[in-house]
Amino acid sequence: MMKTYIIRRLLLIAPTLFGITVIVFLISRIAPRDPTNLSLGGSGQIDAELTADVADARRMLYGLNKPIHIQYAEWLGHVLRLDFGYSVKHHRPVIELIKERLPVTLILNLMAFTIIYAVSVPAGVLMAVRHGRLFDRAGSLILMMLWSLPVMWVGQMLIGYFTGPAFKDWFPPAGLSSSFADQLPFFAWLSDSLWHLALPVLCLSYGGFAYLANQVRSGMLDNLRMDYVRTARAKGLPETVVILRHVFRNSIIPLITITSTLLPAMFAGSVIIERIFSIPGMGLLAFEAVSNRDYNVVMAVATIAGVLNSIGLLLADIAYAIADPRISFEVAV
Amino acid sequence: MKRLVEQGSDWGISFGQIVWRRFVKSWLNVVCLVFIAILLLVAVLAPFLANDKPYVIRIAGRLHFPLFAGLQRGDYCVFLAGFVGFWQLIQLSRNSRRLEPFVRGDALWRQLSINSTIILFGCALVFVSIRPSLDGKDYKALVASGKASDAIFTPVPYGYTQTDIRSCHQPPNREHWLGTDDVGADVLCRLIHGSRISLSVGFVAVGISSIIGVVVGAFLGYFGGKVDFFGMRLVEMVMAIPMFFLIITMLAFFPRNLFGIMIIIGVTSWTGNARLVRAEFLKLRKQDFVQAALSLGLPLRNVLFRHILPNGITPVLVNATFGISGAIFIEAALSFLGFGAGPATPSWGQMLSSGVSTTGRFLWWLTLFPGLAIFLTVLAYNMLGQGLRDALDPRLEKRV
Amino acid sequence: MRNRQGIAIFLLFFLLLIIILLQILSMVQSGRLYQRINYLGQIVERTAANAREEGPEETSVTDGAERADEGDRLVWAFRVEPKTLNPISAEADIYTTWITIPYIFEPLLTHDYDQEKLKPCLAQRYRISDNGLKITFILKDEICFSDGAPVTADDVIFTYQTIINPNVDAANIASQLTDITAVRWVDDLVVEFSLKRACSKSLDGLTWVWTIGILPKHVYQFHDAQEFNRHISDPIGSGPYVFQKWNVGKEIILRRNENYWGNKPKLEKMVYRFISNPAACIQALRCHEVDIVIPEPEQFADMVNDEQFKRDFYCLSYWTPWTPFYYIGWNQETAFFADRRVRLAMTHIINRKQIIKHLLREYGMEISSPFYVFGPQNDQTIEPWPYDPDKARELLDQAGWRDTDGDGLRDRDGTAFRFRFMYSNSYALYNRLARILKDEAAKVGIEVIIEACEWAILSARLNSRKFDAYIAGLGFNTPKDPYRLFHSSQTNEAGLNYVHFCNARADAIIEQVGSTNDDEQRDELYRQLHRILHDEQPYTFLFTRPTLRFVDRRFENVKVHKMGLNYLQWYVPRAKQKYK
Repeated sequence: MMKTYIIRRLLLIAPTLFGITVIVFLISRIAPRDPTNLSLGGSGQIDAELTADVADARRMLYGLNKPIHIQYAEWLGHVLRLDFGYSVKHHRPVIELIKERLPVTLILNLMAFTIIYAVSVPAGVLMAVRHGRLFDRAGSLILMMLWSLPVMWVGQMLIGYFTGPAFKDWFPPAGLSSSFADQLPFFAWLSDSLWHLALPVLCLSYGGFAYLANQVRSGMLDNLRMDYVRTARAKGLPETVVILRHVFRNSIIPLITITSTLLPAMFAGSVIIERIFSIPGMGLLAFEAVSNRDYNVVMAVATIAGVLNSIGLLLADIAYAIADPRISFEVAV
Repeated sequence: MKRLVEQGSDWGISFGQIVWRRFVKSWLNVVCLVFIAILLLVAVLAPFLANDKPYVIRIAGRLHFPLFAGLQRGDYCVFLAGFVGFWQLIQLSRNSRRLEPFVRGDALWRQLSINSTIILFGCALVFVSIRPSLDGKDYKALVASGKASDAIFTPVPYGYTQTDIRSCHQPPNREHWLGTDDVGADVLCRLIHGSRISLSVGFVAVGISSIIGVVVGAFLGYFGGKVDFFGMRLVEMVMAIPMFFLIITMLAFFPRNLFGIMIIIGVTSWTGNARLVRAEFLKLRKQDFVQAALSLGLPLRNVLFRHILPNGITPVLVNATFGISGAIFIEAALSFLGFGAGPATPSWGQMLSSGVSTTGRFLWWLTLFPGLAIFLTVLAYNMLGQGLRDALDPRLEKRV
Repeated sequence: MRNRQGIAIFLLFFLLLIIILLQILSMVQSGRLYQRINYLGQIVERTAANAREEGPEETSVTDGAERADEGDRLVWAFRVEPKTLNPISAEADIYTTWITIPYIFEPLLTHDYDQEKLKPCLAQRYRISDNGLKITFILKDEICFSDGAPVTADDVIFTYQTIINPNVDAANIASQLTDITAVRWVDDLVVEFSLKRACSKSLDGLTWVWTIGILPKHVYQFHDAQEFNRHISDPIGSGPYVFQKWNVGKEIILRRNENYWGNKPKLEKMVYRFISNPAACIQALRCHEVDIVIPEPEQFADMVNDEQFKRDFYCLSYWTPWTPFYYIGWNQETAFFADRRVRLAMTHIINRKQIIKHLLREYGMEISSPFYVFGPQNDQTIEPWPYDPDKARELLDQAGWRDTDGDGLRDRDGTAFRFRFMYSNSYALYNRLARILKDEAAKVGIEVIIEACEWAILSARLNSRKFDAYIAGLGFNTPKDPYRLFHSSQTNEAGLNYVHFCNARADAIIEQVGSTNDDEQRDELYRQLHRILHDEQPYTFLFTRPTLRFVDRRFENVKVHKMGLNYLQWYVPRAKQKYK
């Protein structure tokens, strides 16, 4: 029964992915603007060679004058072979760009995830245990404030106050690694990379604390009211065991689904943070591609983001179904 | 069917009143509410607080009122919306005191629709009848040169499009309380006018997303079965694309103006509302009162929106407050990234992005103040939403 | 009992927090340690700095040329990474040109550094036919590419034919070569070009054509044009430097060509690092991670006051004929700007002096023509129009634009004076200028709607002539050919006369220039053109900026020639060399 459920969910991904690609493709082709004009003159200076027939010639060269469904079909054919085409701006295969940039974003997000979980889960547990007391109320307030801090403000303030010569170079202002980094031995290189990543990861993670801690807290509170807790206490079990072994385990089930909702939020945060800290990741790639109408990259990033999101949702659903025996597989998806 | 009757003692307290009393029990909620009210006031009255034209000035013996003469169409629309909104709130509080319980729902619908129509028609009328005007006179120079006298200026006597390159990049000082930006425009003035932009983006975007989400969710939840199945696939499709990326994609291809941004944010964030409403409708459609309404022969939209929806609206309201803070944040983020409405519009995010000059100088007053404005506004709405959610949830009483 | 367990959880939480903090601190500490070690190492290697002359114009010690001073590297900080190292590509931008020419690829003729003319590079001399329609180049003997193959006429012909090949993505360069009708192989070392219009002795007007880098045919030849289009890296040319490596996103490294046919440069490597953040560039310079940086005017103004900085770095500010200028173009097909008085009024409301003083920190100069402000083509007697809003109001009144309906906006025949002002949002200065223009225009009763857009949209709108006014710059690697910009035949969709400037006298002068061989006469004609442009104001010429550079002081022979810096002459004395 569970197998059919999983298979059904997997099959349902296909139309979702198809729909995503169609939507993004249509959006990216609606406007009458294309990338053939972009390269000539990046710093605001017009190069005198830019005329209409030059633009036309380039457009024909890149196949941008064929009807839309043919363009889509061609593109889809290539994608299924993992060939996302050439980036007009970077003039390299898109797949190479993604191979370079995706790991950076993934690492950033993974580190942020770890920190979020490491901080929020204990905080949520503690807040639930001390419900109504000062810790809980102050904690909620602090978490709410952290959630409301706009990430670009924090990023800019951190750069302004913690980097730069005036502040003794506590942190580097930009980039993923110093320029002499590839000459360093492994551990020093690792340490240098971590030094560069410290601020961005901090910016990316503080926003998630509130959300997760709140979920843990309300899950715990729900469970703390249940009868079995009273039974466990009556049996004479120490409080730690009651909380950690019984209540906590039952309340982490919603955390699984939360992972899937945190992923898209991370992506948004990624774009801004990678822009502020000049980190060459997927977020920055997407932003530049959209600014420069680099169609192939836009499509590739949208597809990959959509795929990752769908897979995340699917995994969360399946994990939820496995973890919580109360869920029946007959329920309509 | 509204009857003005003295409040009967057997009416009891309405659900709204219960929620309100629970809400104001916490002083934090009240502070947030007051802050938002002040912000709304500042946004509506922005041209009266920060303007380069004086309220009144005497030139050659005659009194002129440049500020009032210089009000634009947008200002009048905002005044109208603010006034009507305020009136609606008053009506809301009067409803529970003056009307019988079973007519309150209908009365509320009627008030909402009348007020919305007033706003829409009023705005249309304003746009048709009032022409845009431009007043380039330098009133301060007139006063200084002695040609004019008896001038009363606004508390912040600068306009938000005013430039003065002689005093660009100045930190806070006596003339410019919060400093100036890269062309010499006063930061405090731009903050005040920027509140209009942020709040209007918040309200309009959330309005659009709520309406779309409610309608879609209602249909999906009510009909269930195949309609629900395919509809949810569609919703999942839209949900699967990271919203922010979808927004910047759409912004990249459509012309940049403020309305465009509002609409795009609204159109990309309706899925959460749709899911919530669908869940509520799935639960509620089997209830007795729905069967009763159907058996009475009431038309479908009546059943959906006047019977089921009022019972399922509470999560949408909570989501709306979080949505407003989210929309404000997204607009600031977009302006920060350069996808906003343009450098002439005083958006908070755009001011924030100029906080680090191109040469790397950290201009703390351009980072601190707009950032603080965004932070406090978003925080207020978030706490409002949190407080509302706690007040609406009967399980979260103080005693565990 | 409960409290004790609660304390345990609390302690656990605390411990976790401390571990995270320690982790972060150790990252910070080891990073700083490394920075410190590196920096100290550099200090130890360098000798104490000498006091040098201050001031923007820097000269240095004499031209000593000792073999012992070979070595070391010149590390550049570029803001933008070039997309290709193939100069024959539409993707090639100014950065590509800076890197490849004349270091990797060499042209037939290069610019002389002390005079504004071309001097032989691959060609030893050239001969212009009497009617000026044929020009013959004779290549130098025994010159070869870096892989040993000789440079022959075949390579020259291949280069030019590739450019005009429609399947090759070089349409923008090809459009520059329309004046060349044919290229003929005469001899292994002799090439003949046929031209459409006569060219002058100084090759003026076509200079850009002869400075295209020559590609080796045996390396770049192709069956399918896409092959060529994709050949963006691993360039092989005849120049003094050879391509070594391109770490995409980080740097490009060139090393010296040991088989170079001419005088080998002293510097062993040229490294170009890509740092997009201007503040980070300066920081990298101060940490001695890069040696030469192109600063913004504000950065320059800030740093020039720093004594310590000036002791470590040259602060160079100089003018060359290729410095870019910035202008506002007024579309004369609109109702607003068809009248010359209106255009003049718009020029009067822009306070260029204040802009240069406050926004450019005095590193700029007002101009009134598209020609080099210190050159012979610029009429020095013409003063740029001053900032005069009252005069502007008068002119607008005269042109018929008055406020007849009392709404504060000028109007005429029912049209309100409201226009859209477009610019590319890639340059922060344009934002500020746009807001200033909006404010100043409001003061005289004109409403300006600011539209910032991406470069791609702006160019599309310019091509289709759907704009009212725009601001842009015109720069280096383009011929400032008045024919393309100001002749009335270029107002169609294929031409560059976006503002629809049609003036019979200007046309006559431009045509005369095309048929004159004498440089003196051409300069005089250009001066007349300058006067016409000044009176008619099809563009409001805003200002031009000097070239700014910060250079590490360990380099010798850093001399500012008339045409700029000649990096091939630089060297570092052995004692000060940083990279071995």
